[in-house]
Amino acid sequence: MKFTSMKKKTITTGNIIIIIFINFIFLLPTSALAQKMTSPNYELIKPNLNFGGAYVSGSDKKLGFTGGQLGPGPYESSGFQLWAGFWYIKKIIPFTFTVSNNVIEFGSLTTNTPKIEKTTITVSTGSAGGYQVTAQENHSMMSYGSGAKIKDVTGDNNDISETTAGDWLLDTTDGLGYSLSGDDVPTPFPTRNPAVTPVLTKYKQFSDLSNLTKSPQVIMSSSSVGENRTLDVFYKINISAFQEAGRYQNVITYIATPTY
Amino acid sequence: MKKKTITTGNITIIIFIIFIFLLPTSALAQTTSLSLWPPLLEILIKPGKVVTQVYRLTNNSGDSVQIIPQIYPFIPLGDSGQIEIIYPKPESSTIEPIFFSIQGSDQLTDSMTLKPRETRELVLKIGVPRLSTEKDYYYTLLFSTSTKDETGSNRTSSISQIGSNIIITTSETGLLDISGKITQFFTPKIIDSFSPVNFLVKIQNSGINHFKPFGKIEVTGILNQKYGIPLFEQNILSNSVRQLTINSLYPKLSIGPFKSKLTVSLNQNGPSYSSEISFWMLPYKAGILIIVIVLIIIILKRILKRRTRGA
Repeated sequence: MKFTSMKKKTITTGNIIIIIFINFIFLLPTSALAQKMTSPNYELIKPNLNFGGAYVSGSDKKLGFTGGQLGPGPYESSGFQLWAGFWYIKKIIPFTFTVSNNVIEFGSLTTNTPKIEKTTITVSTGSAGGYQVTAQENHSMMSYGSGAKIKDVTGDNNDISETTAGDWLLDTTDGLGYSLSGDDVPTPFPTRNPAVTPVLTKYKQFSDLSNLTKSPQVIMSSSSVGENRTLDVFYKINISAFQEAGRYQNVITYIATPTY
Repeated sequence: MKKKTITTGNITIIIFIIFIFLLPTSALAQTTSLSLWPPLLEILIKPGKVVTQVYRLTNNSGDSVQIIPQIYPFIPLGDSGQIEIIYPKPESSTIEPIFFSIQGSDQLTDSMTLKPRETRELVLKIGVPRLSTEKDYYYTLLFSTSTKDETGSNRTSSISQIGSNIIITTSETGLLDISGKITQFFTPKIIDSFSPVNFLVKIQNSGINHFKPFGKIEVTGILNQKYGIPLFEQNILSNSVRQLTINSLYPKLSIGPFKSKLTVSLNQNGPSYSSEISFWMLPYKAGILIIVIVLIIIILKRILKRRTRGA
């Protein structure tokens, strides 16, 4: 009876731990064996390998030329060397930038009744390594007839600027601002999830280029290759009871640039 | 007779006028979509020389679009290869010393119209004055849509601009002033065996010319595991730091101590630098899970034992 009890105890503690440990060793990831050292869009290539497709000409000659290849002849005689595209990306796909609608109509505005409209931005880096999109306004919303303006929003807590996002939940807060939801957005804006309607609480001002101290603000950026990276820009506008009647307008400039 | 006139011709005109006013205003809102190649142009050129490069610009939308080319200098923004465009002050509209023009245009900023789905090849001519300072010049070529001044309701219009970067190095001899160093080579000291190894590499360019460092990270384990990660040859501009994009490493046998050595050459003829770090790969996440499972088993056994005794 005593012998049986001893044997049972040995199986249920030490042996179980040893068995689990041995199983665990065998479960170490074997799938890693299949991983390549290159990503789908990057591949390291020798510097002089042809992969491009642009045309190049010098002041005294015209040449068919492929990106990534060194320039024609010795530098001393030709006077230049030229590379087009990225050496480490072998695909020749253009950098593409799409803005879904270039006019946002707010219609008639009513005091303390905010309106929200949306523009969708899509970027495909193609052969570029990464990208960024910046936004800026020519000036705050202005009635060109009278010169009256709808100010850029400063937020419920008076903490919104072109560089700092803040809460805008109150219907009594007036001005123009934007919120973001999508890929590669700066904090604190939410990343795109097609299954979920974004909850927009944080807003920023568009950077006002009529003020020479302000610079365009990044609304989307990535250092990696990406296809169809999408961003929704939500414009929110509200007016106070003291807003002068008029038709208010401004122009937002979106600039998409690749990395270098 | 008079009644008949009202019910045919006039009614038609009235309906037509009403129809015109009811046309959807949202039709004004067009999608703009532009594609551009190449995204990057690098030139090493002697002062006094001129080169040209063809840019392919495509209007992907179903509407005609008016395009205005522009060129501005840029400086590096952050350490991920992003740029900050430097707009000229109102009093100076010059971007000297480099001269840019587009063949067939009187001025660089002459607008052009791209039809729907049209691809236009634009030849950019770049000239470097004979007496220009030998150094790097960084520019962005922007193609900008335009907006019409239209009367209407309260509205925000948008302009789209797509850019391509141009890196110009002027040199009489072709010999460059390359100077830099590794400022950061990092990976966590302990990495879970089921996770990839991600290295952080930052390189500083303290010279007056940009360079493309090349090299690799060699990783060796105590069980004679050997791996290599080649570096992508990314531009590091003058007086800037860049964090290199590096592929993740998935070791085959991811357990035990590892040593990793980063070797970087600033260019094909430039100086080489190296840096070493070590790390451990342990299955600590799974280990914690196993310990928790074992503890639960022991506790359950004790509870069952007590109940058995109690019964």
